Amino acid sequence: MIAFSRQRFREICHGERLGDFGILGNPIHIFWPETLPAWVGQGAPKSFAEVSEQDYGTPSPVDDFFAFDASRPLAEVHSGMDAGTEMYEYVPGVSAHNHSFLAAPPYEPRVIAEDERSLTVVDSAGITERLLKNKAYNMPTWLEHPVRDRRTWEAFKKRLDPDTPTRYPADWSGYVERINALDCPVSMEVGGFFGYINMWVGTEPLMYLFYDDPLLVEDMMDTILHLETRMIERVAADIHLDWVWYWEDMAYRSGPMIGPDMVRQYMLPRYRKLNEVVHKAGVDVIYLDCDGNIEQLAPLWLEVGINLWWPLECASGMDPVALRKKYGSEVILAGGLDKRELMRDKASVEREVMSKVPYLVETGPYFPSPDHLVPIDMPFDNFCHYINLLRQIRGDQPLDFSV
Amino acid sequence: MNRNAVLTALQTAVLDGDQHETGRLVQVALADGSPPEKILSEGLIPGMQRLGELFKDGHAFLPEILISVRAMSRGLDELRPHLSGAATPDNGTVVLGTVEGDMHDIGKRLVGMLLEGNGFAVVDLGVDVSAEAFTEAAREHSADVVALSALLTTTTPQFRTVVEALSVAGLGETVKVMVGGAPVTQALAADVGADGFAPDCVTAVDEAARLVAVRRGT
Repeated sequence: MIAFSRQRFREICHGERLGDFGILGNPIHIFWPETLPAWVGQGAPKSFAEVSEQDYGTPSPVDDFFAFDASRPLAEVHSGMDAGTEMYEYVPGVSAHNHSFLAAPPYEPRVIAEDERSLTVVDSAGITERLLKNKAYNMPTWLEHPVRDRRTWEAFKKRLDPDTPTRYPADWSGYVERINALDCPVSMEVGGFFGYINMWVGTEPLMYLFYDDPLLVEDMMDTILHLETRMIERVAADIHLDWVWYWEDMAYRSGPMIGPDMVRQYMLPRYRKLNEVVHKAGVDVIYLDCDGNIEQLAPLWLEVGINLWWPLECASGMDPVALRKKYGSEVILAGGLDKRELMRDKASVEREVMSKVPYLVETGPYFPSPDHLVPIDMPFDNFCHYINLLRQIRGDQPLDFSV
Repeated sequence: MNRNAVLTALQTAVLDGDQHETGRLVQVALADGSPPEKILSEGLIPGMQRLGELFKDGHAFLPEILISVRAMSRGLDELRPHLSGAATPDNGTVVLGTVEGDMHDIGKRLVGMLLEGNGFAVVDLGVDVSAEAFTEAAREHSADVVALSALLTTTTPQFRTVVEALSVAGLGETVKVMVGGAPVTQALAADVGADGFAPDCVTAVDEAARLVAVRRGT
């Protein structure tokens, strides 16, 4: 087996190795926090119970167990969702994702109210949210967001300084040395111009803000542009990057939250500026994570050089085969395997994988994965079968997953 | 401006999401002697309907929907004191909520706002709502439709629980159930025994109207 070198990654991305593909961990194969511990009861190694999202890719027991091809997100550089935070256990047994969404320092997570069924907490992004106590892992109800007007924005903005020391590992030169010694694709988060503001402001207030105070929206986007520009320049001066990663989440099952005209007006000019910085760093693989139906957004992203799209949610009508036929090998596709089919039974896993993956890898660059994070209701056996099918397509020996 | 021109301008104000102009034009129309029912049916509602068409055609998105709903709401606030009981919008009563174990709120809230903007009475039970709570609310409010939302594949099985609870409570024949949410499809809706499915908040209004018509035999 050829090691998954950064050269191989680049050749795959450039369409120079048709038929070849990577089986990558984070940020292609990502698991909901409750999935890995639940799999321990289904035959996965006990070490899965202790793995956090930031661990895999660094590498973790999950990368080793599934033999994910080496890929190294710069999880220690806080230019994206996390500024040294992730899951947080508010009281014993009640946890939630705790992204800081670029805020550094993060807010101090805390419980502010409790009743028989729920907790009301403030998370690391300053979002007040309600969590259920009877669930080990929660997708919360957001009650209030930290940016509510110009006054609260000015306060929040103080946490968006690109030079805040905690955004970077303390031993920077040692870190640089370790990362540059790796021969695998290295990735860095570079923010996003909708997703983060959506979390700071909240969806409904943000939708109003586009009409009620568009200059405030522009100020927030410019602040992100400044922060990410500075961070990419600083990181790329020392570290060899292979790909960068935007997080947007600006679509739902029927289409985008804001229309293409608004995207063109507010976001494209800023993507262009930031992607110039990315290109100057020698990176031409620009990944964007956006759930939902991205049909109307995809051509706009392509226009500004965003050329790797994940997760391609099938329930939202996304079909990676149709996207390949429409856009050809110019676009690097990732995801797009219907998790509902992968969850059903082994025959469904085979149908889903074999109807898409061979075509996609023969016609252009493609990184297979389920069409979003792997959920708790994915049977461990199905996932193992899925991994071995991918290996079979690639000509690798199957793995023995018995523990 | 003549009366018809005011109503046409009112449609445009709702469509443009101009809440202040909508409120002002309702006052102008009332002062001109336009019947409140006519202001509603020929001014406000056609503006919302036109917006729905633009959304379905891919020419309007969430910001436009929300500012138009806000304008419609402002217009209704001005108009409501002048509407007789019989003329109050009665397109149906919808009990709405996110199912038990699921805390997702945004899509459900948008559906509620659009239903209200289109003349439905909406009882929003919030998130993490038990089957019993849906059943009690459906009975208490004589609901035409119970609308269920779920974000997660792990919580969509609650749809069937609610459908069964309504049936056990003797409401299965009278109350229609519609479902929606990120992982929900027409096939899933049929599988759990729901009467209707909507992939987005605008279609949810059409689907609720269809189900109310079926229920009322109109």
